[in-house]
Amino acid sequence: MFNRRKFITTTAITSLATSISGPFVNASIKPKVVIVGGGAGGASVAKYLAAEAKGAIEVTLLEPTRTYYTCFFSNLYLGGFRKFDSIGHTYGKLASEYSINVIHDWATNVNSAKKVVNLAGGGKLTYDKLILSPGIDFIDGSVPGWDLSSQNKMPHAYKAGSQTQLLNAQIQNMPQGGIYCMVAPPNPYRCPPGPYERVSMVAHVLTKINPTAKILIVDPKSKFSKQGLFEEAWAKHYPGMIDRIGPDMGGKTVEVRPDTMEVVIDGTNEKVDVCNVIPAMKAGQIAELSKVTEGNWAPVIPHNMQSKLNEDIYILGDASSQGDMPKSGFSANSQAKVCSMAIRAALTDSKLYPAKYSNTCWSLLNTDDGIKVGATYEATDDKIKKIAGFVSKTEESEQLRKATYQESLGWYDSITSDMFG
Amino acid sequence: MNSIWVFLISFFLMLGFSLPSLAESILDQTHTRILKITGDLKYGEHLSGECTACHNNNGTDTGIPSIIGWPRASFVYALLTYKVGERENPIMRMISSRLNDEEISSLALYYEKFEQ
Repeated sequence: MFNRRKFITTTAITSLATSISGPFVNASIKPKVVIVGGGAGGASVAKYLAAEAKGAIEVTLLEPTRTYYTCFFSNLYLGGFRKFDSIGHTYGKLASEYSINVIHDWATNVNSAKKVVNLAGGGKLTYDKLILSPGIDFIDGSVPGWDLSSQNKMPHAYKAGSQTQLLNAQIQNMPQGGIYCMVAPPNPYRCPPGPYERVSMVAHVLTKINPTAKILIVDPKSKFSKQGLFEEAWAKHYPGMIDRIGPDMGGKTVEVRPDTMEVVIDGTNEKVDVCNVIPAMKAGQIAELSKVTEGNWAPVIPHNMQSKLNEDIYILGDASSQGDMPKSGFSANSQAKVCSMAIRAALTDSKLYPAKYSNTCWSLLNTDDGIKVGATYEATDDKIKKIAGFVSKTEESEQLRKATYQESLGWYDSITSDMFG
Repeated sequence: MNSIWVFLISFFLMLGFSLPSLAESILDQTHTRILKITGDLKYGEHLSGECTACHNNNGTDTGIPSIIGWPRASFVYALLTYKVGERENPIMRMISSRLNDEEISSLALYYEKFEQ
């Protein structure tokens, strides 16, 4: 009775006889929800809407890729702890078990007056409610000398997939004693501990295959997520390998020359062998095209993730500007559940509960050395506000660090099945 | 731990009660009180969204235990041991600290009835 999958198979029949109350009184016309972006936010909200509306809402998920590679855990692939295939997820279960119409295409623009999404393949999708979960795009010119045409020479690897494989190949093929340079992003950006977990994973690999190599982080930020924990681990596991140039030493004034593999830091040229440029970020372009952005991000109402600029559009995950939650897959999944509840309440007669949000981010420092940071949040009229939090401590026991890593493995399996079925 | 409990514990400590037995007694009393609440299945299903990010609904328990099909009494007791700080995991302490009696009862009911 309480199994969502079983429910889906029966609702196809029962929904024919079910009238929909609320603003949609014609039983033959179901309200339509279109979701743009099938990542952590989009896949989760599609699944929850389809499962919990029990056939009363027509759910369409638009995602260009057939296989979605999660950014979370992509660093573990670089560190040799995961196979690449293990971070790839397909949409077959969302289509077959949840009756979601999965369309592999790009949204080129949104006509919000007519409530139509136009597709690159020429199709059109009409909606009653539109959910945008497009993730991030990079801000042109934020790292002078770098643009998308140079991403093969200097990969970002911050949208997981071919870029992650490319960066991995470059690390594996670095000359002995070579330099891996990371140009770290300014705030706010996707996955606050992500760049520093990546540095840990690259150091782990280099220690094994290229122990005289060096890692150089050029960072525009004076401090970063879990900094004390990362720096403790770098000194312990990778002594002398990692140098970080912060804003006080010129980390804010950086340009790159992809053709000569040079990084110019505050006027000084540095020749490097791998250059991982993670530019400044903004909401995925479709948010801007849909006219729901202010500045780089899309502001939302904290109680339901509804756009502050268009009541028929909701924004999830990294693209949204909501308050205190970090831009993470966990946050997007948490926001998706609140959004699903709000949209069901708006389109059917389902119950609305107060919004609750939470987030936890695990990072791996070395073999069996895991740490985490997390918080709970509530919706206020002003913003999504942090109410409590925790972070791993320095000098924790090896046993606890191993348990934290094991926990992260369990979390990955659970949250990806919560997203993709 | 909320301020009333801190006050109560401090008060009883002054009277010469030992901390472990007192905490145990409060835990047992709260446990009994919550089990008397019927719980709301729909509310439990709604609240479970916060659990499924980490606890897999397919029954696997790699790294994180499965919580589906647990008897209500065990489920309530486990959450309370985190809520009073008797068990360590900071995520579970954080999540349980904002669940009230009705919410714990509803979640326990939902997971007891959960069929895979």
